[in-house]
Amino acid sequence: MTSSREQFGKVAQAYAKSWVHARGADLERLAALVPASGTLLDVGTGAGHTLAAIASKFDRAIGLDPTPQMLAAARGVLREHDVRAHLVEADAAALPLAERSVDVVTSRVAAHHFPDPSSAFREIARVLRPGGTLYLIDNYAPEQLSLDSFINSLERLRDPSHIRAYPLSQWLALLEAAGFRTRVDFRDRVQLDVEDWLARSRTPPNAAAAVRERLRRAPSEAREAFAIEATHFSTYRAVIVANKP
Amino acid sequence: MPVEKELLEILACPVDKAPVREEGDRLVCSKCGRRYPVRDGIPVMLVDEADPPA
Repeated sequence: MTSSREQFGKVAQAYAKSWVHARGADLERLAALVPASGTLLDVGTGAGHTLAAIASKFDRAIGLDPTPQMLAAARGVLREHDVRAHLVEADAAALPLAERSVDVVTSRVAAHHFPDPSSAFREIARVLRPGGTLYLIDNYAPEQLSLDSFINSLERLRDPSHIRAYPLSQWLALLEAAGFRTRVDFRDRVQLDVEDWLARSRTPPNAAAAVRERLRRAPSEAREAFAIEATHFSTYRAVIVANKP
Repeated sequence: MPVEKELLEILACPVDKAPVREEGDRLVCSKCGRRYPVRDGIPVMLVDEADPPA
């Protein structure tokens, strides 16, 4: 298993410039949803696109990521947007924050890299004040096992730090087990350009060839579920609102 | 570059969650004494990167 720290150390600048990460209907939805005060923590902040979009609404904003190169990229993105936020190098499963110190937690397209999402969600519940909210945005797999396997093994082949994009029911179950009350607020399809997507993760040539081959030979159910075409395919994304009672 | 007060006041040791205090370019856990580096103004709150208690 390649750690996300190892993987994202190599590709930080590509993510800083990634249109797929900087924009998106899910990010617009998040910006409309979050309350406009208090302390924000963004877990797995990556190149800082979520902070750039929403941090100014808060009194205090903190972005956390385990990869120093990503935090360096985030600093650049925040400066470009003239947004002020604190950056901390840390692990989602061992948050370096006091209990009940945060009003809002966001985590966008990061949780599928968490080796231990249960621990991360318990930690997020610990640092949130009662009545606080986690907005979890991530990709999810179809409920059908064959399609779940197809997309997750494809993602891992492209980027070994991909752990798992769970089916929506399992994302919700993991959150509920950590003590959250959940609802799915928004669902979207995200269309990916295969070559851009492979270039962004710097997938080695052999693995990239295997990814292209799997897409070409995808069974008809996968072809349909992921709208696989010659140069593009689509994944599923959700905005989950998880309240800490 | 010192760590800003509004961040320092909610930072905690990732191991035992106790408050940390600034000592030079380190953040020191008030309970276990682990010493976390601050690099380019960014606190590195990873257990593997911490120095044992002085």
